[in-house]
Amino acid sequence: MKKKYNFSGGIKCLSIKEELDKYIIYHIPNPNKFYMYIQHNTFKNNMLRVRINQKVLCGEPLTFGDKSSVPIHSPTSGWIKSIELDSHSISSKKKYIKITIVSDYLNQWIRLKKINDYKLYSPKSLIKIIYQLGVVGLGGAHFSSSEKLILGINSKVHTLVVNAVESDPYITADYCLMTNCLSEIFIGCEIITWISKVTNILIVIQEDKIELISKIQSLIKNKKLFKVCILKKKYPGGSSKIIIKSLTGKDIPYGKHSIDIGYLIFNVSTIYAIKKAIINGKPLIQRIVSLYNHRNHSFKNVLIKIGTPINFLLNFLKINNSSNDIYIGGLFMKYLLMNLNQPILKDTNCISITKHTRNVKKNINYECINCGYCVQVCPVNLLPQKLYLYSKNNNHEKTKESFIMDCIECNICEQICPSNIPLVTYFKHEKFIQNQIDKENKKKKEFFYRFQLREKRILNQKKSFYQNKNDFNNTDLTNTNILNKKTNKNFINQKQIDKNIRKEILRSSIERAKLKNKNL
Amino acid sequence: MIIITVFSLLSFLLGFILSYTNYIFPIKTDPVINKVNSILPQSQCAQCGYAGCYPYAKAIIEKNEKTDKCIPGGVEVISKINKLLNLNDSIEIEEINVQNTPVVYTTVKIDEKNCVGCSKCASFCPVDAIVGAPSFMHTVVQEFCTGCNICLFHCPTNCIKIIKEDRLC
Repeated sequence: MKKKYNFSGGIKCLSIKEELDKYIIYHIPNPNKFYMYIQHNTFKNNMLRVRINQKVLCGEPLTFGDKSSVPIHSPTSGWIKSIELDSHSISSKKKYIKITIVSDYLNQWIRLKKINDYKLYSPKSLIKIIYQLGVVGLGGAHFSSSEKLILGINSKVHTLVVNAVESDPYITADYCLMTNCLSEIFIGCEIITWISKVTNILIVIQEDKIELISKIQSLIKNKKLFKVCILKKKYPGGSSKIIIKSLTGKDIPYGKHSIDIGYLIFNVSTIYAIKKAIINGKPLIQRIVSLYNHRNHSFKNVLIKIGTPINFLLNFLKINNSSNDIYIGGLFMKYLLMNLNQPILKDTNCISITKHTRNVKKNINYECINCGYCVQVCPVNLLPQKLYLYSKNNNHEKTKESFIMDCIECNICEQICPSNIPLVTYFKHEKFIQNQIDKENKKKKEFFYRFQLREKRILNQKKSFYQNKNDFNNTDLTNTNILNKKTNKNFINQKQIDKNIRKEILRSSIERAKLKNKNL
Repeated sequence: MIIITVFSLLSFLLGFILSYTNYIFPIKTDPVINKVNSILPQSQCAQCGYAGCYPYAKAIIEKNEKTDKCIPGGVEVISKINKLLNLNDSIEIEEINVQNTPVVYTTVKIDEKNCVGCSKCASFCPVDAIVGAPSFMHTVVQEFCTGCNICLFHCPTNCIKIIKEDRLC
């Protein structure tokens, strides 16, 4: 038996009965309308590439990308109906640009630039292609993979970790992709090794997928680079922090990436997207979404275009949405969809359907009794009960001291809490506040620095001004000073003369008086 | 007896060294002033009557200035400073009618068509956020603008406008 990698904390989950027939990718026809959401920067208004009523072809870029966001491509051929500002239901505070595309059902592609031999290109040009075709991390973090690769080149990485672990226990999108197109994933791995020059590749898989593991091992036999690591079936296993911790035992501190230690982590679907982008030249407009129905424990995997509204998908699969609640996300990390017209984004990997349970019973929140269940379960070794107390009392310094920013929001503590406290919502709010405080402090420092610079500048100006003035005085007024001195001397002489005159007058008068006396 | 003498000698020596170092390398900036300065919002708006936030912090400690003069900071800043300096704040806060508003970062924009290039705003900006040569058009560098609105009063053509913008989100 091989060694099974494990991590502390977490919950063991029951595996569902695996029937291979169910892991089939369903294809879905094009809907009438596509909705694309683009992150809106207030300082850059000219990031759009298209206008209203313009014809677009399939795979045409809609935006210019910038540092924080990759360009987004249109999923069908058609024309653009409207461009407006809208807020997405996930984060209502941020504003997004919403583009509606009406399809013409022809699916005309733009000319694709295919690369047969990628080894003729330099790594930087390959990364540029990946950036231009809009590949982002499909695991859920939405981090642009071109930036990851650039970071990987700059700080030398030695291993590539292929993350085939499902982020939630009942999602099967990654498994489905692995069973259907394993060879293409291996090509993707080779492309990444060419770009970042890693020396070994670890494929991380959970233990319950036995057939897949044996299949991979038979394929690997001739290749020295590859190695299979088997994780225990536990939730949460999909986070990059936890994978590296369970593989190596090292903790990644907050603010640092796994790249700083030397590990590049990519999700399976991201690697597949990279392969598609470089060899087929296709931009990222499709992804696999798994549908999970809680009622009869059935699940389907759907290859779907990004931007199709969820309502259309449910209608096509004949799921009644009046009697069901529809969530985005799996069992643990989920949130209720209020607006069913929301499209599928690049980071939605699961849609789960449950019975209509609203208004039937309310969960009552009791007070925390310090039972400590959450501490035992936490996969990153935090103390959720303490964090909860601090964040409830707005003690922002203490929460920062007890590492709230390391929380990965896996929702385990909330699930296991016996008194139904919504812990993670508190933590999210606290994280938001911490980020605000950080930003404010940065701004304050910058303002103070600039204020000091300005004061220095003004002081220097004044100094130089006065120096110049003194010089001016010295050079020009020296003559006048001499004159003054001369005049002073004259003046003094005159005074003395005056005094002398007076004295003489007095003397003469005194003499006259004496003479008078003598005469008398 | 020996122990006492040894320790007294040691303490005397260490004290001597400490005082000597303090004499040679004196602390140039007061750490308390820096702490107060870090609490203040650093918008350099000069509404407190001083040239900026650092002079105000200096005045609080050296000249016994009142702590309630920071208008953009609101009650939060007052209570924080009072907590730092151990003043009883309960009486003071009730007396002031400062609204408890969080620091809203406004920025300023110049209407560039109407700017005549008098360069008055640039000379009064406390953080040098306004760029432009005299008798040419001026612009505001949005990243550095603190929203102190000093330049508004010095513009002769009234072409500067306030934009409200939550940059923190």
